[in-house]
Amino acid sequence: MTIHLEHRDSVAIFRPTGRLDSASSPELERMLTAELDAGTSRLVFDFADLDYISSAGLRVVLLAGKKLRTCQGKLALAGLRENVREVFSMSGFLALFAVAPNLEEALKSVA
Amino acid sequence: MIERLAMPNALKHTLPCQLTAIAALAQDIERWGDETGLSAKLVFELNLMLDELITNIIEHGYAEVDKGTIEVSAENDAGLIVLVVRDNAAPFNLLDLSEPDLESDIEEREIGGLGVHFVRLLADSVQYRREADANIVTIRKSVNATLSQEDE
Repeated sequence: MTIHLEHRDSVAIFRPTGRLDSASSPELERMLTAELDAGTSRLVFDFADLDYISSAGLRVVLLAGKKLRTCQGKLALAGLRENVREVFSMSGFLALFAVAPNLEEALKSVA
Repeated sequence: MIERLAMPNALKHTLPCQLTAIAALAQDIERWGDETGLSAKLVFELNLMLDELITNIIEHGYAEVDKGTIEVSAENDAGLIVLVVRDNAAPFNLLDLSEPDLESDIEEREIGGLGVHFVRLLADSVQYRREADANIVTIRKSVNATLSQEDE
């Protein structure tokens, strides 16, 4: 599990690779919290390189959504592959978040 | 710790109670799934169920102790997959947990219970029993009943 963090204009882009599970999600949560504490209000999770997500990973995405809602921020998800999409679907999360096919579209939706 | 049973369609894997040990189990299940001819989709669903169950055991069952092991067995019995997860933590029946809220708006949405929800949704049946000082969860899932074939 590696988590890339990149900034474009004032959007923070998190790109976790491999598995986002109970072992790796605390690191994403730590990075996310640091980013939000620094004042970031526009955020994209790019899941194009993510093979696997469990409820522990969803918890971090939900946390981001809740915090950004509070500060009128924007959040979009990009590049969900089949298995990851199924987990979002089973949780009812697809209705909660803006889901874009790729990073470029996601950036437009948080612009 | 990986041990192959004599039966070619069966796998046994013992994990220490550490969250970081789950990825190695997932790899082992993938290898076993390949050998026994399961689809990648089914293997993913089996791994998700095992991950959610084992994460629960480590974070709740073994929360008060820092050692203990979890035994997993997987078997393909002529197209019926049987997963058994056994631990020696305090009695804990995850099936007692209530169904999560899947509908409310983001402010009210809670994450609790989602893992167990996945297990209930993906398995054909889930059984819990307490035997001596062990919790034993048995999951059954037919090879022909993956969610993907129903919704795609």
